[in-house]
Amino acid sequence: MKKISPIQLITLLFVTRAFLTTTYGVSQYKLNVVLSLLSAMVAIALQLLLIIPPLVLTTNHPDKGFMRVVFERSKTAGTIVSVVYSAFFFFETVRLLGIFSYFLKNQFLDYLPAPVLIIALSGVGLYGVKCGIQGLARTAGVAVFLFVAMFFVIIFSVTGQMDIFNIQIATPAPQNTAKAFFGDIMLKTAGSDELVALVFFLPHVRKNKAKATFSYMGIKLFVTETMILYSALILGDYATGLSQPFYTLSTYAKTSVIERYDSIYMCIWTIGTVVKVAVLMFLLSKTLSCIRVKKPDLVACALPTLTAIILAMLGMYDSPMFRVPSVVFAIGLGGAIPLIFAFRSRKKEEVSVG
Amino acid sequence: MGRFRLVILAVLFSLTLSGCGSTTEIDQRAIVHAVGIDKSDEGGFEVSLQIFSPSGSGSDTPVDVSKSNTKVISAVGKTIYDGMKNCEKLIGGEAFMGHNKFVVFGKSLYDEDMHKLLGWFRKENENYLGVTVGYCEGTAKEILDVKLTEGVSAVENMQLIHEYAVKNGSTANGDLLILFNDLALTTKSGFLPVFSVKDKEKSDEGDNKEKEQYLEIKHTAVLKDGKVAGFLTADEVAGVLWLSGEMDKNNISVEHNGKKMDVELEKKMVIPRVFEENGKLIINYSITAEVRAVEELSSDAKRHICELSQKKILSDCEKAIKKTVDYYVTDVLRIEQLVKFYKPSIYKKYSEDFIKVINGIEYRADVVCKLSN
Repeated sequence: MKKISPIQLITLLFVTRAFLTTTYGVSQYKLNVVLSLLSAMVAIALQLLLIIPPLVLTTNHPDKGFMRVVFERSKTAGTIVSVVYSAFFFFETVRLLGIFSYFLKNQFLDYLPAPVLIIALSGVGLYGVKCGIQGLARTAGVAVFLFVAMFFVIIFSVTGQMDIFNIQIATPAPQNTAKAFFGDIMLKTAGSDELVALVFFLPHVRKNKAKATFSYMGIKLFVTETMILYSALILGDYATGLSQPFYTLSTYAKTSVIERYDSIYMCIWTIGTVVKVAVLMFLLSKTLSCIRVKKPDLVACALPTLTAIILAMLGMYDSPMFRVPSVVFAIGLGGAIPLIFAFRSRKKEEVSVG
Repeated sequence: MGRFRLVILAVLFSLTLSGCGSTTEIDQRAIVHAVGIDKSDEGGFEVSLQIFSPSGSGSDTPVDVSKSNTKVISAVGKTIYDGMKNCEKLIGGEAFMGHNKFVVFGKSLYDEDMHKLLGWFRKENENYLGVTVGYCEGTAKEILDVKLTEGVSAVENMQLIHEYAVKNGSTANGDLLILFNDLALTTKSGFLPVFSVKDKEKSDEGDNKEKEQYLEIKHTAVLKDGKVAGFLTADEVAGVLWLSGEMDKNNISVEHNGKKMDVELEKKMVIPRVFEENGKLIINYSITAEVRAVEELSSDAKRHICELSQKKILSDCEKAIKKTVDYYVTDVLRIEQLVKFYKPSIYKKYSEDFIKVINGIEYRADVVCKLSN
């Protein structure tokens, strides 16, 4: 089994999440900034519970991939689980190809047809699949380095324009604050598809798997809270209802050398998203190979590409399928299913002892 | 070999992704430096765009710094967006708003709701959120037509004039983002610079008189319900800037022993606090400023200058509150934001009729001036 370092795991998880993290800002449930910050913390705390089953699974079954563990328990279970995860990664790849090409086309490249963007992204995805997890991890490292550099440049360049009085508690609250708060937690957890990817990455980590995973959660909390806080502090009421608040912040950020950072932000975000597409296609090819699909890497690239192109041509970007999937997937595929297979089967142990 | 083919494939795709196939050269773009909007006689809007136009004919470079390097295109439309599109028809291409520095509204729009006027700018992605918004005394087209000849383009000069005025505490910032947030307050307030054109006669060696135009910022407008409620004097503007913490530096003149002295004040810290006292809401502004005398002075003189500076700042603050709160009943000082922050329960209770709350608040200021030399 090819191995990656703990830091490479962190970068892979970060890149897999970065696409949606940058949409974080003051809650779309119209919570005030204090409640938004709290809901992000509670969401991370919930996710800390979700990462325990994959950690237990990899501890109990060292050097074994998740699908191998499931197939060893039961071939039927293995087939069902492979189909479920394949469907999830397929769906996520189609969603990512679709909304990314839509965003890129509408914000920057309005003269390029969406199918061209989707094919270009898929081409890079195919190469990523061929490179394998080590190649993807190395590329993710570069993408994360660029993202971190850009993140801190934007943060430092707008710090002088902070207005502490933009931290408002008395913002008109939604009708049912508790429901909105809970909904926001669920939304933030639902977007955490990297927790599903973690199940497949963990067995490849050389050492310090738990430390790496918890470190990633700490970094994620810091980045998320900083984005929410800065969006509120700088943009104020204007941030409410923005779909891409950190991107908007980058359009406002300026230094003595560069006036706007949105183009740099888009460039680095594109690199990160391209890596994410490759990661999703890689995971899809791995789960497809478990159900004996011929040429799983080509199928993993071609099938979502064709689907995304068809949906793009039908103009279906506004459809619910392109919204963040239900939290059931993150909880079920990231936590519940690994929990079922996390512990060694007693029957098999008794047989081997006997 | 297979990997090599894949690398070539990836490179080809990345070229496609970067969109090199269909780019617009910079000289084919209409780079907008400033936007001017006036009310048109036909009931719509006259939109004027000051676009970059290199005037380097006959010179070594495309840009001739002795000329303004701009041209102004104007068109009328039913809405501002319609006017912009009609301007693009005249230009023969798309206007690039990413480099826009100013949005100026003419005198004819003083009575129009700024919140509605800025609707298109709120949605336009290319537009920089830090663009300066202001009014002018005449028509916006007149302001854009002024041929300022310092720097690469005219708008650089306009920017320098505005930035210098803001830095020296004589006008408002006019930042678009800040304006959006101010217009979101209950009173839909705002605080914007007002540009005006100044004509000056210039004679050359042969006694031929030539008119030269300059831009200046004589006034600062106060908005209420999104419309111009009135204008502030220099002292009142300084007071607003001190109280809102936006003051950077301010040059004042004080009298010491019968002699006028120039003093430079620099804001160090402004901390507003909201509290209740005897059932009344109080806002107290703690202002700390550094005082720098332009001339050499004795210790006693310096102490006296400090006291006079303190009194001047307090006086400016009082004038600002009297004019903006008592007279115009606006919230240029963002009192609503302060009450929301410090007393959210009180705000929630009276948010429906917050104007009454603003009028009922007692305003206090304590100023500490420290000598720097």
